[in-house]
Amino acid sequence: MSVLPERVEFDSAVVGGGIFGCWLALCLAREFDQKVVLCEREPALLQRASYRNQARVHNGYHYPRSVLTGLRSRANSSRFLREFAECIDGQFAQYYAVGRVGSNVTAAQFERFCERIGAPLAPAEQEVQELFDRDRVEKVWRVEEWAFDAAALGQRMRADLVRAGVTLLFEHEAERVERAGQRGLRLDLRARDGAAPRSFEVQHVFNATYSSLNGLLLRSGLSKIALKQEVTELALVEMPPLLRRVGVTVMCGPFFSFMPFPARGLHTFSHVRYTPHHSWHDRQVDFDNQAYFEALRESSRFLHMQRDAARYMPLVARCVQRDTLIELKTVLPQSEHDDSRPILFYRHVELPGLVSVLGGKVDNIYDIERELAGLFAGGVAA
Amino acid sequence: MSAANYFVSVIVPLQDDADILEPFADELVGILRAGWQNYEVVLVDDAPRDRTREIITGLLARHEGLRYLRLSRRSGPEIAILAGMDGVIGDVIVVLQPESDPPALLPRFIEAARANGGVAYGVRVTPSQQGLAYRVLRRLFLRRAPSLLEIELPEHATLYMAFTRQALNAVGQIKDKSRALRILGAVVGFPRQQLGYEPLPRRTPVRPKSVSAAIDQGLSLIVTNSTKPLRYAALLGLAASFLNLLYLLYVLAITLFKSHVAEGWTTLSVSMSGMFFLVFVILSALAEYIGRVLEETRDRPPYFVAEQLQSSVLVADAQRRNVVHESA
Repeated sequence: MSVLPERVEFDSAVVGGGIFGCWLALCLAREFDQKVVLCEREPALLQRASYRNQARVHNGYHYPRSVLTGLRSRANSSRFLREFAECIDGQFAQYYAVGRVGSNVTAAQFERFCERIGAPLAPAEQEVQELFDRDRVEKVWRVEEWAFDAAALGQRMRADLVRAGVTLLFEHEAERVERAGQRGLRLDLRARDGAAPRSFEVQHVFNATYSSLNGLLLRSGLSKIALKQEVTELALVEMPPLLRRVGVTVMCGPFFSFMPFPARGLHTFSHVRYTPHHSWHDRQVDFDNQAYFEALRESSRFLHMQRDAARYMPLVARCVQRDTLIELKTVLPQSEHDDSRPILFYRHVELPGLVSVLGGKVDNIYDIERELAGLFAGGVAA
Repeated sequence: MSAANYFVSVIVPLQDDADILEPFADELVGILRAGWQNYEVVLVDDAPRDRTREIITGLLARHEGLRYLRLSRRSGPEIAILAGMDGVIGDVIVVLQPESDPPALLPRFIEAARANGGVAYGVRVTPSQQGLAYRVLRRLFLRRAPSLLEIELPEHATLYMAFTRQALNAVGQIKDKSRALRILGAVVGFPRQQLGYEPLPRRTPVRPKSVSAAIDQGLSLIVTNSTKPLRYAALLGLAASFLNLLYLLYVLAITLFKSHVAEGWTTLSVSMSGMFFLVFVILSALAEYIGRVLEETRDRPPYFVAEQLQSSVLVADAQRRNVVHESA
């Protein structure tokens, strides 16, 4: 579905209608006065990884081994909460617990970390503490964290983009980016709904296609970026009544977490050991990630998640699984062994004007603004 | 026979077993795949000094449901099993060692544990191939075990054991650092089933077990699990002090009734036997208190719950309304 005038000159093209692509397009249109076209392969925005995640608005607690990640999360979360207030669900109680055996942090370290980043932490209420097996869980706290409604966020992004004058092009998949014409780059797109292929000549192309990032690069004759892909599963479950308005995250190792998923009225259930099904490094394989993903037939590992989690919190045995979300999660290899969660903002040397952007956390979008400023300050066409 | 849908966890303690690991793991996973939809195998490697680590990468790539834990410090198979126990999620948990425990018997063990709701433990029916000294000491230890440790344990019990989840949770609540799974499996009181089997050694000759380490472990287990030796020591002390008291009386009697007593003998004897009497009395008291300290500081729950049931009728009178007819 695209209402595209025939002869329009765009300054930039953004490929990928996930949260990062949308935010990029908004910034380019609003802060840099650009004419932007946003291309997305699905029929709507925020359909893939931006939807299939825990929908957690981070407040710093989740990465206790990186003060930088913690501080940035807190700074970003307050802005995110303000700007997208109608998409936020804060009407539940969020708890964090530290495991006794196998955790990378102790309760004392977690408390000190939260103090350092200024994150509110209070001992959990007695009734909640009693839900945990004290042999396996060292301590439980009440924290401040929120969930966002991914469906509502998608609608909101769409409205904002239209209002900002960004042209939206759905059901088109980017084939390649090449050097061309006076403007610098040509982006070729293939239509998935049987319509005619499109082409745009622009100064900048932003590749925000997440797990398909290297697919576009490969088709454009460029070298792949070092990225690791994981097939991940988030179970969608119905919690027993006592836990309907509760979220729990156990840190910091092979543990689990569950929290409300407002877009479906259920909870997502994730487990550090069972959520990743299998993984690979893009540079070590030659199949296309998107094609691989479409051919996947993964069976749910929720029973494993539940079995393990029930040892820490017996009430979990009464959860009922309603569905499951399978998605390709893309991570930077350098982030694997610590809690750093940087955004990748890569200006391609082989094809100036092409920028590949990858972010792993929804509330990190604000960290892009400075990168864009740097990009345009250094001269418009590199 | 279709694959069962309850979870099975298998814990395999390894110690420099690179030479026999692959065929063992292949066989084990084959049996699990054939019989169960959901299983996990946790290989706990006790600070390996051989090429186990390289073989593991290959195994992890070939078989699903495998996990590998490498301990940084050599701690023995019992601690390795404990490390495995802390992370398994199965409804039935089996422990076996690659050196001589046949994976083919897995279904028998699992069925036995599920049938009695507790523990199934293997007992070898063929003679051990360890050296004479080791076998003699082991027989001595296990013959004394019932009276000392207050449990029943057959002489040839091995580490091939299957636990139901409840039994394993009970064992997991015992935090002793000096532990023997065979003993703990009996201590928790869940029903037990003996399974006789013939070990199939994968190595020839069988790796010899260290006699000194075994003596060490045996003594450690006696001290950890039983205060009886302490009680015997206390009684011995009391007996000795009583004898000293008698000797003291004898010395006094001699002094009173004999005419020729060597000079200084009375004082010497009385002071010596008096002191020994006091020393033994104090030692006996101390032994009792140390026994008490041992019992209290041992991190064992005083009881293990085998089963919990509650009334299936929740409200006694569903028609009752919250109304009173007068105010006192």
